[in-house]
Amino acid sequence: MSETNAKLKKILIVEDEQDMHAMYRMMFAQYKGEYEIDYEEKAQAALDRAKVENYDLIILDINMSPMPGDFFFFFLRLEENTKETPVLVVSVLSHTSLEEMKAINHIDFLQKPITEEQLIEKIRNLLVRLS
Amino acid sequence: MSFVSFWLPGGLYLSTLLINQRRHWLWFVLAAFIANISFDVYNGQKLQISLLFCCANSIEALVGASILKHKFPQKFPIFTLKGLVSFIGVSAVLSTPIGAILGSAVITFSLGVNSPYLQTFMLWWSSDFLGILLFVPLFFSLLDMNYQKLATLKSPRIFEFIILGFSLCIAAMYVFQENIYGPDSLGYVMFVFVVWAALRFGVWCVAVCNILIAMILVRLYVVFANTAPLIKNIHEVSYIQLFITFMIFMDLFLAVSFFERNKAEKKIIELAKFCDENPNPVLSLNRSGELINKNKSVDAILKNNDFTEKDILKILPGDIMGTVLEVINEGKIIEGVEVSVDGKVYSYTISPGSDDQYVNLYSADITERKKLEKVKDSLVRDISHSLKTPIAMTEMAVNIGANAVERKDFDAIKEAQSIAGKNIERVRKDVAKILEAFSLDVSMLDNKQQHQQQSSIKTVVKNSIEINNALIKSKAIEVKQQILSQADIVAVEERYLVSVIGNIIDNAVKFTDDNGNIKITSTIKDEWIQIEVKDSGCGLSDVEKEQVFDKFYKSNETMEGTGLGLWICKEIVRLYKGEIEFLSQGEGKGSAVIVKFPITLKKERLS
Repeated sequence: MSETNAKLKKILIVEDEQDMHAMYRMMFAQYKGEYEIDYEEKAQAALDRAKVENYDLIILDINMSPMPGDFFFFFLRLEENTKETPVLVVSVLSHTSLEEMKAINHIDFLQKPITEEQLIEKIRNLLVRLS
Repeated sequence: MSFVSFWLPGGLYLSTLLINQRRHWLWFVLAAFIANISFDVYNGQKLQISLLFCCANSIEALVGASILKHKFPQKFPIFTLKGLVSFIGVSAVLSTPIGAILGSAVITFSLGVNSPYLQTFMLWWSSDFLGILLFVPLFFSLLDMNYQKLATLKSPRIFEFIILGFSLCIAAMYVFQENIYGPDSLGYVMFVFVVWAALRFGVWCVAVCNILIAMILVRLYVVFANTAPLIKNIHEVSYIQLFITFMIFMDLFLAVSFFERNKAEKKIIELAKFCDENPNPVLSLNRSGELINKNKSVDAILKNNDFTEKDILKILPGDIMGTVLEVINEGKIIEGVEVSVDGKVYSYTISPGSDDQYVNLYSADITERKKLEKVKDSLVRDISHSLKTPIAMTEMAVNIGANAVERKDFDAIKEAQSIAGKNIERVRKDVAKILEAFSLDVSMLDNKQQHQQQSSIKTVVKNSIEINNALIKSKAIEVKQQILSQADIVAVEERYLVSVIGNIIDNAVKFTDDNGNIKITSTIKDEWIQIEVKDSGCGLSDVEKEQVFDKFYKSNETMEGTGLGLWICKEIVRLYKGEIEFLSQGEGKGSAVIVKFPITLKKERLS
């Protein structure tokens, strides 16, 4: 990230595992100047939040209850102001099992387990592609 | 000197030896000697002559019995053509001539009877042979052909025996009472009777009839010649013997052929049944795909007997003809052709027929196996799913920890370590649950030894809460306990009680929202110790309540866990003859799981 692009990128992490939140926090610890992270455990609440706040990126888990991540994604795409928001799916599911989602723009996938490097690289790619 | 046209004691002698073991033969030979000699001497025969006659009779019987027993050690072989021929061969050619040589020598050279040796020999030989031929088949038909086992008489048979015995008596009277003169046509009537008996009963009945006929023939001759039944003229005896021999041969061969035909027919009927009783479709198709043979299961699928082109698709949907032609042309067997019909899955084995014009299709119902395969697949999928998340998280935590080590960020190291630890614990728990589910499936703890223990509900509840303490605290769930001391001890092995209560409490904690509450009570109700775990969680709908104890059931597919917890509970409770129930007022209204163990179990153990 260059100095000129100093504006903080807002990221929403939708993930129901507390431990994952903790690990995201640790992975993003060194990028405090780059990203501002919000966390949500429940997809429904995350959807409401995404509608009002303009996030630059949403990191999404699939295996969640009661509303699973793919449901969240399709609802997200229905909303006028979130239909273009890039989404990074981070799940234990392989990409092939998420074929339906692949057809839609502004989406990328990472299969757990992920490393800090992979995560940051994917995020940067997604954001660059859009800008 | 008088002659008989058939010497029945010869047949009795041979039969007696055959049904007894060789080491007992000596006693029967002795008995025969005593009987024979006393009879002869009583009739005015000289002792040394009758002793010689006796020797002749015994040697002939011993030789015949030895050869037959050697050739057919288990069963008397009268009911097959081959057996019949061997029997006739042995008795006619091997054994009786020996007796005849000795006997006729005694007659010709010691008694000085005025007839050529050869003629006497022929008479002795044929009389002995006929006696055996008349008597032995009858005797063994009564023994059910087995040397050791006497025939078990079934009730209709007893009735028939009475009738036959009665006719035998009448025939005997007819033959031996000189004053009775019956109609000449009786012989013909009896012949018809023999044919009927052959059809109805087989060989043994024919044997009886042969004796009757022989007697009648003698009688007819007596009427004709106006002489005594014990005929004194050798020539006349020979004529009668020839005629009787002809009759017996005809009858016996007739009977054997009827018997074998009946047996073959029976076998064909059995074979047809065998195919028809197969619950799975069995059929044959020719080159053009026409149905040649089919069993009842095929009819059941077709539901009518008219067979058309379309119907073959009813039994064998899809392109089966290609495979059929392949089997016909290449003459090889193709297995495992799967076909789904009427909600069932069949695996067909297609094999070429005896000529290359048709194929046989044998099916096996693999519907259940398919279902099991599905369950197995879902099990594997569920297991891998439930394990994937914690394993991935452990891996990530280890990775983050390693990065933190480089930065010397000790707080991060600690946190990563704790996350890794927690998730490893999750994996361990899930694996334990899966293993337990498998062991429940496999052994079902049928071993009574495992029922001998008892455990404290209070302790188990306390431990289960401790395990979940972290989550309870983070969710700020209030947990209440009310376990009566008289409803504390149950006769359930501790590790199983831990499984039951642990799983239920796990679920309660998992599904209860923040600031909710869980109440655990144990009371005595009628004959039961009743444990109730009530929570203020999300509850379940009526439909879900039905399925909650099913194997691999999950209220939400994306939930973590194996879906085995409550199924394990149910199986354990069932094992201890208890009851388990899931109560819920509806979705969002909380739920309660009630487990009951019979109180009698406990009393038994305590007393």
